[in-house]
Formats: sequence, C-alpha cells, structure tokens
Amino acid sequence: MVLDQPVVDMENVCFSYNGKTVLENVNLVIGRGDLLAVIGPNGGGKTTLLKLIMGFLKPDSGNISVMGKKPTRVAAKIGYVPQNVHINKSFPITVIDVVLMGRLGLEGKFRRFSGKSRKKAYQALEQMDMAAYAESKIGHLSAGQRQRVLIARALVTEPALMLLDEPTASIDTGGQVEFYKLLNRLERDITVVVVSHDLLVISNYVQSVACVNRTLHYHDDSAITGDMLDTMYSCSADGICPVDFMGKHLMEEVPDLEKDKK
Amino acid sequence: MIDVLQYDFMQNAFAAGLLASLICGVMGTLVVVNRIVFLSGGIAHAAYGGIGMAIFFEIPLILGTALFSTAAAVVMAAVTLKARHRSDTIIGVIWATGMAIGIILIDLSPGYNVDLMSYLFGSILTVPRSDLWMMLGLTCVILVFVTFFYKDILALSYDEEFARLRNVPVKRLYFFQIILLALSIVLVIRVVGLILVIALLTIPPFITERFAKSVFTMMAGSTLLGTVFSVSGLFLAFRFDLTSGASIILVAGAFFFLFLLADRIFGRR
Repeated sequence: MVLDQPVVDMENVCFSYNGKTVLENVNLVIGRGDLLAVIGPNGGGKTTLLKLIMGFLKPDSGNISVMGKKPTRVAAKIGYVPQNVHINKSFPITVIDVVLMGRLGLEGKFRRFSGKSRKKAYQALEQMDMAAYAESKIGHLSAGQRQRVLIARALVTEPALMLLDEPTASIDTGGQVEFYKLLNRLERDITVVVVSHDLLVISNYVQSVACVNRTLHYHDDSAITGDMLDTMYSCSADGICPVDFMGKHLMEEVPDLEKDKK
Repeated sequence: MIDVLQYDFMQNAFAAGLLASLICGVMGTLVVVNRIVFLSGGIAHAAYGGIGMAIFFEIPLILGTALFSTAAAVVMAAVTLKARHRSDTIIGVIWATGMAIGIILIDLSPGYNVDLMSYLFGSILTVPRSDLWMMLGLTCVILVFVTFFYKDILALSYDEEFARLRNVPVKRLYFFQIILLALSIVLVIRVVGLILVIALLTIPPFITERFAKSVFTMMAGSTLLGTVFSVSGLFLAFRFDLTSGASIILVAGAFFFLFLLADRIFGRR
C-alpha cells in the first residue's frame, strides 16, 4: 500500500435498493490513520455506506476503491464490528472462539488455530478488558460485553481499516466515553470509520465527520455545527426537528465537555 | 437385551439407528445453530414429490427422492441466502407444492398404492443392507466435510457477514451444507420416516445446545443422545411389539419434556 494513497476512495457513488435511491453521488476520501465518524438519521444510508466499502453491495454507478483495489479484493484487511450484537445468543461458542474467528484466512485452512493466533486473540481480549471471560459462553455476557468481544475479534484480523456500526448502541454513556478513548488508543495507522448517534461524545474524539442522508457531506472539523445537522437531518414537515434541537444544544455543550476533559 | 441382536433384521435396525443418529447429530446441530429447522421440514415434506416422481417415471425411489429433494433444497437455499429472515413463505409454498406433486403423480400412476404410513414412520425393521451402505457412505462424506471446513462452517453459522470478510466461501459452503442436509433427510426418511427425521434432527441438538460450549461438543452430544433414543426406542418396540419409528419418537419426546421440566426446576439461576 502506497503511504499517501487514500484508504477509501469513493467517486460519484450511487446505490439504490428496490428502486429507492439510498445513496446519491457520494464522494468520500478517507486518508490513512483517520478517525471518521459517520452520522445521519436511521435509514439515511450509513450501514449501506459501510457495506459498499466492504464490497457486500455493488454500487449502481461510480467507483469505490479501498487501499487502491476493488473492495472485495481487500476484504481480509477490513475489521468489521457489526451493529447487531443480539444475533445468535444461544450459539454454542466461547468468547475466545468468537475472537479466533478473526484469525480465519491468516493461517492454514484445515488445521486448528495456532498458538500464535490464540495468543493474539487473548491479547485482544485483554486490551478490551474481557480476558477473564475468555472461556465463557458468548450468550452469558451482557450486550456491552459482547460488543467488546466483537471489537476484539475485529482487532485480531490485523486490519488496515476498521468499520464499526453503532458500536456503542448498547453501552451506557460512561462506557461510551471509555470506548472512544480506546479507539483513540488504537494504533496510529489503523483507519477507523465509526457509525454513531452519540453526537455529543464523538465530537471530542474524531477528526472528521461525514453526514449521510442519501447524500454525503464531509466535514474536516469534528465540531458538529447546527448548520451541518440542519442539512442532514432535514425533518422538513415538522415544526421542530429533534436533531436540529439537539444540534443547537450541542453548540453550547461541546466547549464544556472540552473543559471537563482538562 | 443381547438376545435381541441375534436376529438379522434387528442388527440392521440397530445399525440404521446408529447411523441415523450420527447423521442427524451432526447435520441437526448445523440445522439448529443456523436456524433452518423450518427449511429442513420443507425438504422432508417436499421429498414426497420425489416419491411420486419416481413411481410415475418408474425410476428407483431413492434416485427420485434424492433428485427432487436436492432440487427443492437448492431453491430454498438460494432464497434463504438472499433474505434469511423472510424466507418462510417461499419455503412453506415449496413444502406444500412438493407434497401435492407427489400425491398427484401417485394418483396418475395406475394401480400403485403407496403406504403413506411407512413414509411417515419409516420401516427401520425392514431396512435393506444397501440402504445401510448408502448411509455409511453419506456419513463419511459428512464427517470429512465437517472436519475439513470446521472453522469456516463455524464462522458461516455464527456471523455470515464476518465470514465473508474473512474470505470464507460462504455461498458454496452454504449450498453444499444444504445439499448434504437434503441427502441426509432422504436417507434417514427411508429408515425412520418423515416424522422421526425432524425429531432426530432437532430434539438432541436442542437439548445439548444448552450445555455445549462448542459446535463440536454439540454434535458429539447430539449423536450420543440420538443413539440413546433410537436404541431404547427400538428395544421397546421389539419387547412390546410397537411401531418402531413411533417408539423412538416417543422416547425422544418424553426425554425432551423431562428435560424442559428439569430445566425449569433446577436449571434457572
């Protein structure tokens, strides 16, 4: 991978599902080591955006290259943390085996996982404070704990790009702050894209924000402006848009948060 | 109990029971963890279309059912792969259509009257040697498949999207798994019948899922449990002169409800 080559490069990407346009003329360039937040209303196309980057979906038109290649060719370099942590709760699998899944394709196919992989999996669990649960059944954990396990699983894939789909949806506010601090601690050269609704929290930790609501607006500065929210969450018909409302408050809240940190 | 085994047909019956338990223990585990019990029911019922087809076109029964079920299974697999959670309607339609085709084709075949009861409950006491060999062959294929692709199958069953990112050949693996399932169902139906195949596929894995910490232990536990059910069911059928398939189901069912009851009383913390 060339150093200054963008990790994700989307050009005029359009995507529709069942005749309904989900994304329109999306242009997005994500540089190496960036921490980008993707915000937007439900159904605005955030998850679709991630799935396009991973190559699960093909754009109707436009170009997507990930690390200079077609998305499906670099899939193994992408660490993905899915949104839904509630799937398959009764599945007979231990925490460590879930994490080991991330080592698939990194070593021989028809053998058991090597000691090296097990060590890595264990380290990733330690990093997420979940090592004590390594031998527990995944269904016995809380939603927040399961989320940490899924992040550990994404980490052991040794990704160049991490995609997280609402990773803090099932974590309380205190845990969310912890979580974003952790994201910041990740290695510098991992590029991170995180879909989130926690506008308040993310603005302190990310470098850039992309607002997705059929179209995509990219903001280099992480400060979320009311203007920015206005364009994205256009709830035209209603008198008061809840997000707009929140956005205005944000403007006042954000500096305070900064102060609290110091 | 040993004296039971001096009869040839009982030896065959026990062998069939053991093989069926092994096939169902492994494939049933995959069925339960992949949440495709309904799809399995669809395959089992649609297989009746294969019986009708075989009789109408005068081809061997096993060939007709294997072809028909595999075809139906592939269609169902394609549907579930596309929309995993919205596929029940189409499976239901294939389920019913398959059976209807079977019945109509048998109607149209002159002078032929298939015993529906033997299709429902099987004929484990009259299972021919050739069926045992076929089951043994299928068992080998299943074991090889599961051993070689264990990690991939695990990832596919647990989180399909993640598996795709890890370059697991998700589609091929899923289709192969469903085809193996169809062949398993067809062969097991011959010996234990349509009703028992669903019971053997689902009851042991359901019970073991609660305790198993890995898919492998779930497969092993289910096989063991299935063996206990079929051996004790067969023994009861022999002693009290009962229908063998129904006896096995009754043992499994009784065990299942006892398990639920015990779980209610002792299991919850």
